Amino acid sequence: MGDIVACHDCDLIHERRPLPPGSSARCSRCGGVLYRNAGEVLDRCLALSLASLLLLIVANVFPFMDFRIGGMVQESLMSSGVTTLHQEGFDLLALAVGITGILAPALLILCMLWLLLPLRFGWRLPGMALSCRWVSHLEPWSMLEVYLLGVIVSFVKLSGMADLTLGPGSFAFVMLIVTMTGAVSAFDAPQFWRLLDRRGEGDRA
Amino acid sequence: MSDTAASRGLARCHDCGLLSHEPSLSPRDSAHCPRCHAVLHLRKPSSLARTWSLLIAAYIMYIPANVLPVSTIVSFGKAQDDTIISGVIELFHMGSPEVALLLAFASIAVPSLKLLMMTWLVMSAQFGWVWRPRDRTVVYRVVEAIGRWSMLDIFVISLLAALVRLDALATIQAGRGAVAFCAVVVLTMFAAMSFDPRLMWDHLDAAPQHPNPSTRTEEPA
Repeated sequence: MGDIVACHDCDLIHERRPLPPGSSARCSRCGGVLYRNAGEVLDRCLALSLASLLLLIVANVFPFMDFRIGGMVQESLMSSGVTTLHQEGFDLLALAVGITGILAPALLILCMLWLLLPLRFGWRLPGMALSCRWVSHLEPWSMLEVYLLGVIVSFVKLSGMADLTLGPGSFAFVMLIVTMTGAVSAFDAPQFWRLLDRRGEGDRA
Repeated sequence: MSDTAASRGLARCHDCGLLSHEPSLSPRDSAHCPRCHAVLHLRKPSSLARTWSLLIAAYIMYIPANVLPVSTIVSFGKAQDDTIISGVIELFHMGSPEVALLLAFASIAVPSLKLLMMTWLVMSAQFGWVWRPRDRTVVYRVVEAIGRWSMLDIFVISLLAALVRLDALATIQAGRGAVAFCAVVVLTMFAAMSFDPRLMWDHLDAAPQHPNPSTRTEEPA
């Protein structure tokens, strides 16, 4: 069954053919991407995932933004939105922001690492297939770029009212978006599934 | 009859893409992908029913999302409630038309378009329309891609609430409208995820004589 693929959007069967590097094959009926030749991306994806992990920690631990008005200062971390909403009683909102802004990106990075680190060094850990599946489930819920735009909009909204300073957490946050976007676009699931297959059983019942 | 995986009795694993023989179409049996163990389905289970219910729930939440205030600004004892629309108008008056336009797009245009487009797509699958399936598939991809940007206002509110906490001087609080709006965003995202675009194409084969789209093979991009 390895020589044919089905379109994700319209189910039409296509024969798998070799592609020049960097190109992708599209469905002849609906234009959806069938598969691509991403080249050797494992190292790049792994490196960007590791960088993302470090940046995520820095972005959350160090001060994010300061709000100064009339001598009073309000410092905040990346997670301050979640804690404030929870304190105000808006638990569902806190959950939504917490998941899309912090938890989903963190789990996404961890799943990529759990799959790619062993794959790179030839180890075999339990749950690698599960991690690979979870990457595709978590991707739509990691919304760091939207968070960034939210930061920009808040900046504009508040700049008339007060002094806003960006802390080291926010710089790490911007870099995190760059590395995560790179890692996710380098994450070539079909390639990694083939590598997982080749390494042997272990994950199959 | 188009050469689809379903016509050959093959199910495409939604997690790893592997094609396997689907032993039965009974909803009770669950076959698993031999490679990644995900549950296999020929089509997303109860796709139309789930999408309809999520859309209806989103429509219901859409009303309080726009009627109830999403944020409250308290400064020097004076409280000002803002709905999504009044917030946008406020930004125009404040002299930031670009940001106002951005928020209008993300918080008003995108959610409404998502609701309308998804409703149109589900109807097309439900009633077996044959009108331009390729364009409808493109619309589906666009809806999937832009959905997340509606979360913009929620992030803004959470940041403002966290930053502006200076008691009597100035305080910004979230409002109940924000919860409803967040629900609309999440529900429409789930609705897009539960919709199976392949259903729109299945009807083409069932429909009476209809000229097929060109079957020329695409060159790699």
